[in-house]
Amino acid sequence: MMFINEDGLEKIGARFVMERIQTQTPYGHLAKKQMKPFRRGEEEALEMHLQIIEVLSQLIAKHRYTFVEIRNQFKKVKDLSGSFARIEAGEALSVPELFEVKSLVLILAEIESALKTLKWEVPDTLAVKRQETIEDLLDPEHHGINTFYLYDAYSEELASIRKTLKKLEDDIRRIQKEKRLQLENELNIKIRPNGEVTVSKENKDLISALETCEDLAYSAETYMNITFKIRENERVDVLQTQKEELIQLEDVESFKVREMLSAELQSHIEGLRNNTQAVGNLDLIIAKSYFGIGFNCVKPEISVGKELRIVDGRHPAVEERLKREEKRYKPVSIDVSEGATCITGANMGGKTVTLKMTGILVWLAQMGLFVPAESMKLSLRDFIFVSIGDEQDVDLGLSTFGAEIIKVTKAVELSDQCGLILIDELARGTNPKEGYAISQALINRLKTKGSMTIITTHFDGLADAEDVKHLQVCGLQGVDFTKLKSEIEDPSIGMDILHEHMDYRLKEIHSPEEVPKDAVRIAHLMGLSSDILDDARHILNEFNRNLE
Amino acid sequence: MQLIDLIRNRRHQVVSVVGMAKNAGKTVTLNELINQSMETGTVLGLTSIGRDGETQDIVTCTQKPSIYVDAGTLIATAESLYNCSDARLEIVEMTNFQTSMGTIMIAKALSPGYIQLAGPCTNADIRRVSERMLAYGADLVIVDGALDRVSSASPAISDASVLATGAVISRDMDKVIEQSIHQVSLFRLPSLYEADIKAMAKEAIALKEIQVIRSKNDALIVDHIPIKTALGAGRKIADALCEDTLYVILPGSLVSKTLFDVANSSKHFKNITFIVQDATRLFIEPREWQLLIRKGLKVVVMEEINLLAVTINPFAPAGYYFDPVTFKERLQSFVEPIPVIDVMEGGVL
Repeated sequence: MMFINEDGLEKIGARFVMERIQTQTPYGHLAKKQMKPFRRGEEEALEMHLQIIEVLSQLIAKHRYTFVEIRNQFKKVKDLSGSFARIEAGEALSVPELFEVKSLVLILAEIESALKTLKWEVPDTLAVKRQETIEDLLDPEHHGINTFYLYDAYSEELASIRKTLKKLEDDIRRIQKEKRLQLENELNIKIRPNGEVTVSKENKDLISALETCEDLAYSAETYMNITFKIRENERVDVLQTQKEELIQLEDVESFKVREMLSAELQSHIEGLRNNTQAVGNLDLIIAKSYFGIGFNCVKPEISVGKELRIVDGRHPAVEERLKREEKRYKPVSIDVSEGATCITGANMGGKTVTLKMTGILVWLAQMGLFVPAESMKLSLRDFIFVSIGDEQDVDLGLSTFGAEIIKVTKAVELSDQCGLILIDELARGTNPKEGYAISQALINRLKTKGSMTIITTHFDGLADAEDVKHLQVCGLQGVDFTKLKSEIEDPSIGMDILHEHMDYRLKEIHSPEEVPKDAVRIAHLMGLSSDILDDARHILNEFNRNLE
Repeated sequence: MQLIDLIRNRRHQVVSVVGMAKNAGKTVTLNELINQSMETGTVLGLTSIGRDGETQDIVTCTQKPSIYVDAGTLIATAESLYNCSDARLEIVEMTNFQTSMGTIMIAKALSPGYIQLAGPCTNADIRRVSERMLAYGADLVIVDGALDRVSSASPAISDASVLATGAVISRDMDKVIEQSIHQVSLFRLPSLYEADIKAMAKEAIALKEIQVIRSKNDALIVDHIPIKTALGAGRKIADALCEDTLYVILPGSLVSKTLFDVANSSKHFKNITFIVQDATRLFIEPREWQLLIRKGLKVVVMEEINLLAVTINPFAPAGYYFDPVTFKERLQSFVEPIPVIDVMEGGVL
């Protein structure tokens, strides 16, 4: 079963969070992609995971530079899975591939020594271990620098071939040079290092001299000039042939050396694989720690009970946006348990944001991340189900109501398990009478289930039953509306002031109570004309009188 | 004076060699520079701007490499070409730059021999590998500019450029000279020196926006013309011009059609100056250029191209040739003070 519905993942802002968990290595990227939630029954494992992040966060604060260094090393790590597969298959790696393996083991050594300076007892799954045998193997002459070449030290045969080859090349060059100098002296000309000399056709005397010279051969001609080249003498010919043969031998021997090195690496492949796995895990958990630090997060407390308690929770994406706009985030606390909870309250009171905040915090905690809140205590959920409508549903050709019912049907099916169900503005897309009835019936069903259900609504009375928890947004209580209205109309202040005055916090309502009627007041603030508003108030009064 | 002295005297670190056509003598120029470097003990770094299409030939080593380097030379080339060079190579770095022929590696020749070059495909990557080679100890990096890719002369890549031209362009020497002078004069376009306007133009180019600058009561006002590229956008630019317009900033390429459209639909053409990133963004034929200049065209560049020398190859593979002395002297008289060097002449007796 999916831990969270795909649409819900998008709605609660999980993508924002994932983008801010910045892994550096290909192995870290992979580990991040494969991140799985901790499920019920894995409380202990999650606790241990969170404790590692706690320790890492403290270490990062204390040894900032060491972590910069570790992440710099991470940036150099490349995906060598192709070469690893070739090693395992017993193939001979190419020289560039061997260079990459050498680079990797040098990086491993750097990471290991950086980790040592932290004096941290590194958990096994994160322990990056130096592979000295491979370091020695790929740096046989102990240069200690990160370059690679099929060193002479690998094979006496190779060394001796190269030595002979070098001598041959030197001999050829010496003989050619001697010849060149001799001819230059004899003919009083300058010959290029490649043994060619070009003569203008006007220089007839020189041309006939060169033509008769046995050591020179006609090579090329243009309309203007003739080019002569020093004839290869027999000794050079012999040496050249020997050289060609030796190059063949060098190739064969080089291949043997590459085979030998690859076979040697094969016996260490498990260590290499463990190491790249550890690099991926370490990369990811460090990235998670940086996320926690960056968003001022705390370690969630994991319980085995049936609770979800968030104190001063913040939605990371909303918080970042407000920060950019230089506005203050107002944190919200929420405390719910199994069964149904209704959130009621004024328009623009942040009900939807609170719902998303609850969703993302539970998701973060179960993905093994710290959470942006003062504190959080939760029992692990089997799933998260989110229904928040938006324009997208309309694009899919469904009415708001239709799309919502499809989602809610899914939620009801799942509700026997211990999940978290978040529904925004239940049945808002249909007429109030039927909407109310459907909502009430749905809550009646969900309130007895093992899941925690949180529903935001405008309907009166939905939250009145004793076994349904009722939370209300404090909203604009006690705010001077006349002053607020004039501030909003002031172009230098504007709508933003509403955010300043809005109290997004939730309070628990114990006795049946009317949902506050802030809509008319908000409409007034937003500038709906006063005669329409008067008419609305009049209709509302009539309506209430009829009810009585 | 030798080409290498020109470079060393001016302390250039990255120099590109750009050919006006295939067989214009670019490889001869390149090899001449390599030879001169060997003689003067200059440690070279070599790379080329990546090409598409030729991959098969190169990777299978069927095409003979034509560049011979000394031991100690650094090269940046695709990893799949490791086995195609007969110089023994020590790998110094595997970069993160990818090409169709594999990752670009930086290697050092441990013995002299022929090597095969296929470098990164973008200007930015070429610049970065060049800087890596300088960091590994090269005194000078030479970039082999590919055919029809004048862009490797872009100041974004190299500190200076050598232009290779030759008889191959046309049987008519006048045409070759005309084309060559045209290219040289584009390379020598003046740069924008007013600091405030330069700052504005830099921003517009970064935003990839076509903008016009006009003056109003001694203040400069910038208007954005909402079109993506200047291709076929001449009319819209013309509409945006007024009496006070001073500059038109073009972030992309500048083609003759745009200029003719502006010239024919706005009487303000004469009074304005076009600003482009650098001369490699101009695609205008010599004759059109002359016509536009007569109509009052003014173009300035953000970054000047430092043209060091023009090399000529008087011989065409088709068999015809120009008299080397006449060819050289005529071209020289037009491109003064930039030296013209006959690469085929090297040491003719």
